[in-house]
Amino acid sequence: MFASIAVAHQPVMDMAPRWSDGFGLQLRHQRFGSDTLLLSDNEIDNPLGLERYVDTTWLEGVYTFDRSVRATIKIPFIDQQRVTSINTVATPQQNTGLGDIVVALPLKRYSNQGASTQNWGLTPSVRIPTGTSSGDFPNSDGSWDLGLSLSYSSETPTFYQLYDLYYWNQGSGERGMQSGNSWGLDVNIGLHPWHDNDTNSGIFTMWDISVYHEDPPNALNLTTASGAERVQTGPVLVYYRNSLMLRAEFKFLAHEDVDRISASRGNEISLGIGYAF
Amino acid sequence: MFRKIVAALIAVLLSAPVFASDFVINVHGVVCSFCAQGLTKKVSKLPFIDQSKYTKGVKVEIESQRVTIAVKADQELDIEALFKAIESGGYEPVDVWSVNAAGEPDEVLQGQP
Repeated sequence: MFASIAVAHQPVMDMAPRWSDGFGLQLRHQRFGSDTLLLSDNEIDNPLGLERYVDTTWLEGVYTFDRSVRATIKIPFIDQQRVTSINTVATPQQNTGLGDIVVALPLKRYSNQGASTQNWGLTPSVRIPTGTSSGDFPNSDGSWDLGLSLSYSSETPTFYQLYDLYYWNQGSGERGMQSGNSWGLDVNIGLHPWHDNDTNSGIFTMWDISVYHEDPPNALNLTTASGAERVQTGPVLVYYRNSLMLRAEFKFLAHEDVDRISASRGNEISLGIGYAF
Repeated sequence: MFRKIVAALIAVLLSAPVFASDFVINVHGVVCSFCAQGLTKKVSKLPFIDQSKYTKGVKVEIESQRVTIAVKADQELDIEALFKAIESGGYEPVDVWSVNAAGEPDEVLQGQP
């Protein structure tokens, strides 16, 4: 959930492999959550100590047929816990297991001009309900969801920029659940301060701005979906050496406005390691 | 004495870099490490590349989009195969140059001089 489509600003998946018949793997851990309770965009008292924290480990793979056609798969393993109010009693709930797998087909049109390369991308995606929709705190609403992303990025030896606009259409889930449709915009501005040609190693830095809107879910909702508008921003640091790439990202929650009383998403951290073959 | 001088000269000649086996290609769009990696992966597989030099026979300078390749002494450069490999790596080759004794591009073999 809450994943952008184009796997933007990812060393493996988006930037590499660009060569034909190439493939890559990435393992990425993401954590968000807080004990801050929101009503609209206001923090409210939280005498019961309600909270929500979600840890997701993503195993991601990409295969590049040629530079214009790729296939990607993202497999999440979710460990989520929250303290929710049931009849005004603080009630801990927890769920661990496989989440919804996302399969996508990024289509890219590249243009290389001297010291710059740029591409337009169109990425249809499908989210498969492989997560559990049972229990008090399911990690999936059990629906098949369809997504589409339009992206543009350009890069020179020192500068990088990416714009990714995406939309998810949520299908009807199980047990009467249905999350709200969502759209988002990711903007990444990057600098390439150091690169060593002899070892093909270096550092890549980016600043990420993510704008996200999610419609309210229907009345029966047991997942973490709440309906929200959110702006997150923060730095991304990438170290690479040949085929190996390490990535760290911190997202500061700059703005959040929720449709119903819910725990804030809080700040977010993501650590990843990728390898392109 | 004369034989020793000739032997020493031959030894020096044999140990000197064979610059004639290096070629430089200007490639549009090679601006990042991931670009260099993909291009190296494809070009190094060509049978005429001397993998004992550079990184598997290929050196990519992303600041200038210049790619230097080492070709085996007993092999000929196949420009068509080279350009095809670069395109397969995701980039556009512009021209290919031979390299002089100073290691600088000397004569254009294909493309715009």
